[in-house]
Amino acid sequence: MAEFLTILVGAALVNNLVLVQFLGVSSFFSNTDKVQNAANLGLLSAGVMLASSLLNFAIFRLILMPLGLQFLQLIVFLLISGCLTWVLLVLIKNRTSADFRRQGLSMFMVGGNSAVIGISLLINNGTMSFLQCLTYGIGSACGFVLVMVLFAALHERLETTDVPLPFRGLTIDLISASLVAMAFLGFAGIV
Amino acid sequence: MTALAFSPWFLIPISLTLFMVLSYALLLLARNLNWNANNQPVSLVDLVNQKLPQTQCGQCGFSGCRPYAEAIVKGEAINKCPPGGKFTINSLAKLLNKAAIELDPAQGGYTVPTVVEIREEECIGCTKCIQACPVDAILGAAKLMHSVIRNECTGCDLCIDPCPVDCIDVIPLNSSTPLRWQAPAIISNPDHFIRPGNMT
Amino acid sequence: MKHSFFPATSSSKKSYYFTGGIKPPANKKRSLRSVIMDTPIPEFLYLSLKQYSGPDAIPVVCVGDKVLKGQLLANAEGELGVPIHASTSGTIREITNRIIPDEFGHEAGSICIEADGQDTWITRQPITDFKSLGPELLREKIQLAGICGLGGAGFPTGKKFSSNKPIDWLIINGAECEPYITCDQALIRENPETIVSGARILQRICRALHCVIVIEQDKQDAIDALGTAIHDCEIELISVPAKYPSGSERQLIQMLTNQEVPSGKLPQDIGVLTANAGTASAVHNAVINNEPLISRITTVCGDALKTPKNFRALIGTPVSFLLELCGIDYTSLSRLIVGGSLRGFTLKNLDAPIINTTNCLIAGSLREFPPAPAELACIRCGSCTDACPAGLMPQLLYDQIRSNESAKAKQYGLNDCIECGACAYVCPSHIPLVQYYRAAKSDLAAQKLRQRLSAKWQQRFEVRQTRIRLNEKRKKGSRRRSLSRPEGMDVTDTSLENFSRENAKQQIADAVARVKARKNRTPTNTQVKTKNPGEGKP
Repeated sequence: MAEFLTILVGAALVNNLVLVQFLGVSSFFSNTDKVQNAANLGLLSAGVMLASSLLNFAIFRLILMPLGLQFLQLIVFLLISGCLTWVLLVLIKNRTSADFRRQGLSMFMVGGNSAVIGISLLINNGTMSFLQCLTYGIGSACGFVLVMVLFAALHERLETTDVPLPFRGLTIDLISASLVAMAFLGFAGIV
Repeated sequence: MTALAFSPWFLIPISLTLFMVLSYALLLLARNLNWNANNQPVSLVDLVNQKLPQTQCGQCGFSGCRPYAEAIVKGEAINKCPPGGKFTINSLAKLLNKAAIELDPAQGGYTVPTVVEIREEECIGCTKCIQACPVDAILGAAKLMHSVIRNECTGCDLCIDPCPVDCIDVIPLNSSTPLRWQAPAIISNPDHFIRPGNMT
Repeated sequence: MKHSFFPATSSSKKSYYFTGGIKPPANKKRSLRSVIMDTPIPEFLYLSLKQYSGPDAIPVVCVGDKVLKGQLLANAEGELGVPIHASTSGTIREITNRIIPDEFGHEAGSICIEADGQDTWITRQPITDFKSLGPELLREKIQLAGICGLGGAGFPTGKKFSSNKPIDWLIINGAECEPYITCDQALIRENPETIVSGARILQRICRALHCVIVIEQDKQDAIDALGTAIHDCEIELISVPAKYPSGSERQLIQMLTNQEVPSGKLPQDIGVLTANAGTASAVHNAVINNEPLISRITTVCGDALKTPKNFRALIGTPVSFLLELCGIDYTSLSRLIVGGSLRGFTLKNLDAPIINTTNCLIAGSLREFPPAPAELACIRCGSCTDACPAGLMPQLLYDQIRSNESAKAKQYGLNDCIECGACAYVCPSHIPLVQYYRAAKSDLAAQKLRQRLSAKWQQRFEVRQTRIRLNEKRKKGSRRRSLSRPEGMDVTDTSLENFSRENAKQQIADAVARVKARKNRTPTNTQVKTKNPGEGKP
């Protein structure tokens, strides 16, 4: 039990995908104008991450490893993630509100960011059991959503404040993100 | 399942916080999803049209508010509507992710809201103003008195040109003293304080 | 048995607390040195028909009428209006637009009375025991007497106490927290029994379970006077710490009942009603002495005056009259403020009359009210957030308003701002925060109105377009139909019963004959005319 909590917190905070391992930074900076949009993108990405990590884990252990085809993992993982993203977007296409659709969530942003692939690759590096992988996936997804929502809220405040002219736009975004990343380094000693 | 050398009691509140954030994000997402509906796509033109003031005056150069909305979707500048004022420009900028620019001086400056009134002694009952009014704010019939329903008048001034006896007056709605509070003027360093309204 | 809802009485150490607040210097000593003075009758009284932000009253007198003191001059329009009564006896000189003392310098209809000096009352029917009248009758009586909230907003008291919601607490607000204003304190220390009586009448009207009178701890003379006056009453006296704005309705309720009035709702929704101490005294006058609201206590103070004091001023007295009674030095007067030093506004025209809600006039010198320092950049110190009594974040609201995001400011509670001025008072950069919030609130209200109008206009426009399209279609269709209809048929007779082929044929034949006859006649007429071209018209 304690072990699973450790993996969870470790994956979410200590080895945060976006701020510590610098995966998925593209979607991190893309949809940050409103907390609502960030939550949408983050949760859909997290869902794809979790599903694809589990599926890829199974494929790796059951198909690729026995056949000795580990070198194909990148291509296979990409294909699987792409398919899962497409399935998810088709499922929600007609059931979302107008605001959501105008956000322009494309396959690329939801499933094509490096965090999705990154999780699968990271999981299959070592020798973890299925349950451990599951916890790792959940933790990473949680951490991704946390950081997306956090940064969107920060960005909302940044938009209204008195930023000096040279720093407006992406510059202050990057600076704030680096400060948040430094804050997350403070979790390093926990586990 | 290896045992840990320390007892990680602090992980429990941390994980709880993580799950709280996750559920908050789920709630936010759920606001946008409705599983049972099969929504028709809402056109962008409708959304843009809703932000325009609907006076149908034509000061933007188009024949009404909806044609201007269609042009905006095709890429027309958003700063052509004087009756909408700064509020319309800002809301269009937010909707379309564009910069909120100043009103185009070619369309004239910001105007105070106005209504029109017909001088009844001079009205000849020709119905030309009734045909011109885009919101049917003029009551009347041929050879009978024409009157403006003040609450329905948008101040578009489209009835003034057709009137053959020039009996329509424009009345500004604001009195000479301000009815509302004005924001204080920014008197310190202007470069430091100008905000574009969005970050780009 | 005297029941006390609050587990501690006023003498024990219960702490009454609300978040934020400031403690500015009170500046109340000078005007409290003397007792309340009854003003002499001025020559002209100007009774404004617009006493607060509600509808104007409708005059029922004409120019030249002789009126008595307390006579009805204007009827209230609807439930939200306030009736106007003559403050003294005299003749109506004119009814025109005159300036009223509000922030914008507006004009409103005013009735000018030329006083005859006699000050004759109309016939009054005083009663001794208000318990003989039912609550509804009492409420009507105070509504007809024109009683309104004398604490500042001027809302008609009869309307405020007309809700059918169950009321647990009636709070009489004697906590005069704003600097310079001492009218309530002077009234309480001199006539505490009128306030107690008014409180009991109001409690009877709203059927409140409990009644308390609140006063600030630093007003010891008023506390002692009230303590003696309520010796045999169920009313409880509570003294709260002196902090601005403890007298504000929502903060007072939060302090006493530990409940917050929800945003957008009224105190009666949580079972509380408040009334100002001056209003309670006016209620007593209206019910017991049968006198309408024609005078109020006004504090006149400030450095430019020789003798600041409290007046029992007649409503409609020009401001300059009161200032001269206090010995004003016009050369040292730099700013005349109506209201207290935090929530008041500057009055430009000294001929403006007193209205129901004018509780204080400050004749400020330049030393007392120096010009406002320049607005500097916000240093994000957070003092404003500490000071806000409503629990808002003034710094965040300021940033949002300046970035043209007033809608976001509304989400963050802009409409809950009570405009007390505590945030602007503590700001080290001298930012006039309240001005920004007022401007944003006005903008939001105007935008909401425009959006409502736009939706209505869009609907009318679309209905008109549909109608025009349908008319065109109908015209096209009817043109085709008229081509096939036989000529001359009586088109108005479309009833099927009268129709028969023979009938129709007969009608056609008649019509054709008529047309032929007309054709035959016309050439002769023209021949007749052209025969004598030189003749004049026949």
